[in-house]
Order: sequence, then C-alpha cells, then structure tokens
Amino acid sequence: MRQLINPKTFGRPSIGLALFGCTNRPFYHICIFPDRSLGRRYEENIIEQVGTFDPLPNAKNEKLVSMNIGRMKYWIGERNAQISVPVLELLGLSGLFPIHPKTYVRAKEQRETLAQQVAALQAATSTPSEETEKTPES
Amino acid sequence: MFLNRCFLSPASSNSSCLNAVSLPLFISSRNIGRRTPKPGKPPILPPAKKVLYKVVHPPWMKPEDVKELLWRRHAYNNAVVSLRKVFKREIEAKEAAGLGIEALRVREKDELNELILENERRNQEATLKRERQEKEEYEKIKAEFLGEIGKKLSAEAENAKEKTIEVKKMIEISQTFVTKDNLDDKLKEALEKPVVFDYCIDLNGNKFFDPVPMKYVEGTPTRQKARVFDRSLVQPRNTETPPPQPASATSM
Repeated sequence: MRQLINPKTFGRPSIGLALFGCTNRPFYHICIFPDRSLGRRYEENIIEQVGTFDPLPNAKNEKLVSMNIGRMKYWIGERNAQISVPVLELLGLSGLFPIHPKTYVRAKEQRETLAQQVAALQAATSTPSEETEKTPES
Repeated sequence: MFLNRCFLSPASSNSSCLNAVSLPLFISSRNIGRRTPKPGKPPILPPAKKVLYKVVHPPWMKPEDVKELLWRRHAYNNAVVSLRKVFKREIEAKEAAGLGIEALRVREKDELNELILENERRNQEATLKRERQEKEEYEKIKAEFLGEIGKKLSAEAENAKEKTIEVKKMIEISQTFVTKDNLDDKLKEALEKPVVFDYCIDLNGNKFFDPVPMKYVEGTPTRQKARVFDRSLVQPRNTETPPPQPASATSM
C-alpha cells in the first residue's frame, strides 16, 4: 500500500496555491488547506481563500498577485500553518517575508539563460555581417 | 483509521467538521447523479507504472552554490520561525488592545442591541404619531360626514315641505277632476251647462259672442264660421248684457 497519512504530523494547516481556471488559462487562488497530505487540492478541501495569483502576464507584462495580509498573519502566526514554496516566494517578493533561496536560484538561472540567448542573438547577427563584409572584399 | 472518517473523505461528507470551520467559497454545484469524485486513488489500488520506480535525481550543483544555498536556507528558516513569533505577538497585542476578533464581536453585539433599542424607540414614536394623525383624520372625516348628513336631512325636510304643499294643492284641485266614477255626471253637467269661450272682450268687460251660443242648435248651422269683416265697425250686438238703447231709438 502507498504511504498513508501520518497521524502524528496530521492536522497542521497548509497555505498553498489551488489551481482554477480553464484550459490553457491557469489561475491560482492562495488558500488555506487542512493538511498538505490530503492529495490534490480541490474545491471542497479549502478552509479559507487568502489571495490570488495570475501566472499569465497581462497587457502591461505584469503578473498580478493579491494577498489578505491580516488573515495570512493569523494563519502563519497563530495557527502555525505550513506554507508551500511558491507561496513563500510570493511572500518574499511582496516584502512580508525575506527573499526565498529558490528565488535567487531562479533569478540566477534566468540570468544565465538570458545571457545565452543574447549571446546567441549577437552571434546570429554578427555572422551574416561578417559574410557580407567578406564578399565585397573578395 | 478513525482519522479517515473525519478527514480523508471530506468530499463525501456534506457536513464535515472541516466545513463547519468556514464555508468553502467555490461550491461546485453537482446535482443529482453528478457527485464530485474523490481526489486521488484509493490506497488499496497499486500505484501507476509511471510512478512505481520513479527516482528523482537532483541536478548536480557547484559546491560553492550548495554552500551558499545552505546558509541561505538556514537564515531563511530562522527568519520564518522568528516571523511566526512576531505575527503571533502582533495578534496577541491586538487582542489585548481590544482590536481583535473577540472584541469586535462584542462591539458588534453591543451595537446591534443599541440599534434594536433605537429601532424600538423610533417605532414607538411612529406609532404615537400615527395615532395622532389617525385621530385627527377621523375627527375631520366625522365632521364632514355629519355635515353631509345634516345637509341631506335638511334638503329632505325642505323637499317634504314643498311636496306636501304641492300635494295639498293637487288634492284641492282634484276635487274638480274628472275620473271614471264621475265621468257620466260630468258629461251630463257639461252637456247641460255648455261654456262657450268663442267670444271677444273689450276693456269695459263686455263679451261679444258671434254666433250666439245655443244649447240646443236650432235650424242648420252655417257653414261659414270665420270672421270676414271687422265687427267693431258695427253696432255691438250679441252681448251678455244688452247695450244701452240710444235716445233716438227710444224716441222712435
């Protein structure tokens, strides 16, 4: 049998992203769940909704996040809720928490990929110009 | 396994202890025959082949990166722990200062009671006002009705007076009326005493009949009945009172 729920660690609420939306259009609600071991997050499992996160950027290239800071403080401080990594990252970006290490890792990776893309673009633009220079010379 | 009943099947239990905490915001309205399925697989079923021998190999990282991430993680976790304590203290301070939920509930309850009392006061004032207005209107309407009644009664009395006078007059007049009973007598009387209105009268009061009325017609009556010439040019004749004889006539 698969691993079942451990009753010793059971009962601690968890703050996480619950996926809603339609096909090719995800949308996340930041919700409080009763326990993180209760399988996929689904509607009837939610205790309270505490914010939203839209992963697709809007017309101004912004990804919008909303958070009910008061309630989040209650759940985090008073009820000692576990927080999932994406929510921790969002909290870090918002300023309530320090920046998550994964954000630094992600930023570093993105910087590297961006540098690689820029280098590739430059290489692509420079090689045709070199060829055009060579041909008139010859 | 007692936990299973309470937590593992919140979808099936409609009034579970979890939902009693706060209502879910996005209630999926699955109607008859379309229940939401339980999430995940039941534990008795074997896991899928895709998942069976899945081993997650973390990607290789440089040692300096690992060290950096390690101290970052330590610092972060410490920060989170301290933040939890900070939030807890904040909430306790709020509660102590009277800004917490319990204090809010108490204030709301007090406000509700006050509002109810004020509503009661307003209702009483409104009832008093209503009573006064209704009384005034009642008095007004009563006076109107009484006036109208008085008018009607007086009109009726006047009418009755007038009608009695009329009726008495008619009674008096009706003494001479012709009815079926006295028809024969009246006819006989009329035939015996014919009244002729076919006369002309002068300022002295002399009546002139032409032709002279006769009760029993003698001879054949003339065919011509209209006036052909002016009788005033002729010596008056056929009067009720005979005209005074002139002196010449007596001397003759």
